[in-house]
Amino acid sequence: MTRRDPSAWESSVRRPDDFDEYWRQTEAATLAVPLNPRLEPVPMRSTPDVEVFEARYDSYGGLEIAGWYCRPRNVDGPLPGYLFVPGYVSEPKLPTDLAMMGYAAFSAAPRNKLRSNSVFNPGYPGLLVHNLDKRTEYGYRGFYMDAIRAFDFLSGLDEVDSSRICVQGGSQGGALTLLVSALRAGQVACASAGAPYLCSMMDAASLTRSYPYEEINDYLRLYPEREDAARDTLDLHDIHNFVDKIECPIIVNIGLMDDVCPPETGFAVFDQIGGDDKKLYTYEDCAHDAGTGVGHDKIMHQFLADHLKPVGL
Amino acid sequence: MNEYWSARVDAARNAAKGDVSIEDLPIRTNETSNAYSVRFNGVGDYPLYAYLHVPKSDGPHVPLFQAPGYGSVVAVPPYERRAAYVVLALCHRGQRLSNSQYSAAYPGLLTDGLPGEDTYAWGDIVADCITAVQILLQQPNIDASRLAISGGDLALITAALTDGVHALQSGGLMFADIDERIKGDPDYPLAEFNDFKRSYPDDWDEARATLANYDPMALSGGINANKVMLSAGASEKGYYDGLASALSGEATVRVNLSKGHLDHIAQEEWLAEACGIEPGPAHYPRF
Repeated sequence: MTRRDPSAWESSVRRPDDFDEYWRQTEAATLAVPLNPRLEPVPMRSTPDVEVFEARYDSYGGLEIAGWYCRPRNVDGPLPGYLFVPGYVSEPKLPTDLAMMGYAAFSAAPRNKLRSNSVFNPGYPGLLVHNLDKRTEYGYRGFYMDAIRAFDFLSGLDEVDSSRICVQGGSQGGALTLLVSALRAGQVACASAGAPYLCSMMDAASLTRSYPYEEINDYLRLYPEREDAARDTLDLHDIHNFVDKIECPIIVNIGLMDDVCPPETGFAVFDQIGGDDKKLYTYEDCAHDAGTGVGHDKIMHQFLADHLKPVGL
Repeated sequence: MNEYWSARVDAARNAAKGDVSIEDLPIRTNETSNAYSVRFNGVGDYPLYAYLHVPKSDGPHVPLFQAPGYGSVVAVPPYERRAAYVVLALCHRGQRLSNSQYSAAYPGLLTDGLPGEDTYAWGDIVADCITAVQILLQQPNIDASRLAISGGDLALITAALTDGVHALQSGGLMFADIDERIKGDPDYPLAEFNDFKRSYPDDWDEARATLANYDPMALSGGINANKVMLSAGASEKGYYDGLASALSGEATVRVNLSKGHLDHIAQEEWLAEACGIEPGPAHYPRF
């Protein structure tokens, strides 16, 4: 059998004519909702070295969004900021480890995550196909804005040096990293996206049978007549169409045998990323772990530290 | 089985004698398997949900209990498992789809209800798993003599408290070697134990006594599976070797390569071979 070459694959994602206007209007509607940032100390999770807070802010549609905020004690500010964005099914991490490294760290829980799901709760599986045939009501519209406002929350904190903020995440977090880096270009100092999800979504569903993309296959098996509408909705929300706006230094890592987010889509989105300071790390025999267990975590933290100069504890 | 578990196991097995609702789940049915929503009550009449997938191929099939992991979401079983096993994936109380009365917090669940033996949340969670296995064994067209269980702590504990398990695949055990592993600054979820210890220092001794009931080494005498695979990180091999040697069945310790594709294939191939079947169809890469 001829060995496949995922780097030679071409995405079929189309950029809708109204893409920029749709997102301009979406962001305007989001910014019309006052952020209303709140921090509440969480003594049980705080340590002699790290203070932990439950964070809340308001986002698109007026929904209240939660997060964890951690900062090192006894370190003179201003601190570099670290926005961690979560994967699809996992709960957002409590980023005490990042605070120990010297960052003011914010871990966002966009809508549908626990603590942010009192109004919007399509579940898992569910989110990826929520209102898939209704392009302006698709679930990820507000979800994306929650990630953007998480960045605004962090950059607005007095103790954070707004010129030194990174974004990092894997899988859905990789997708949100690319999104925030694009829509907050000029403000994100550097970024690291692992195994990015939500890229070339319709193609990905044809490349794998693993969830979450399998949700699209399930949906279209039940509603085949909705395929054109689904493709239109997904094109309008595909991360592939955002990334040409990215300006910051960025690294991306992918597993060459990733059945969850096929590497074909990772190569394609990496090619689209704007700016010259970008590097792709590929890992043989790795799947959705994308090399994190064989050294990439160390590479990632060194890359971010080189740009942000945290003072670790 | 000690006193702590015997009453809980009896209650869990009795719960499986109650009403069970099994409904078609068309959106998760595919070309290889039929999908169903299973609803039943766990101990205390707590309403629970599970996914059930039945291969479309001729049976009898190996029944596989996919034990829930540590997190709010229970994944639909992988494509290859749905094609090869009658697989039941439980959402224990507190997880999504089984959270009508109680929602677990993350972090939080690992120490929820400590220090008391009777209040620790995991007693009922383990009972949910035992009830679910009994419901799996009630299904038609299965070969109950090849009952398989896979997952983390809940797989191992369930196997220790269930008779007739043929194959057990486990690893990544949170309750293993707690005292050693919470030294320093471990990541979550283990850090939850340190949060509890720091917040309630006077309660830690009682909490440790409760947690001892969940210690894999203490439970090893009850694990009578014919075949066991334990997956371990490189630094954990010594512990898992010790655990394997305490088991009565044929036990294999596999050190993970931290390369997800290879580790996944090794686990699926081991499970299929242990159960005497062919692994489900590979689906990626598709060309």
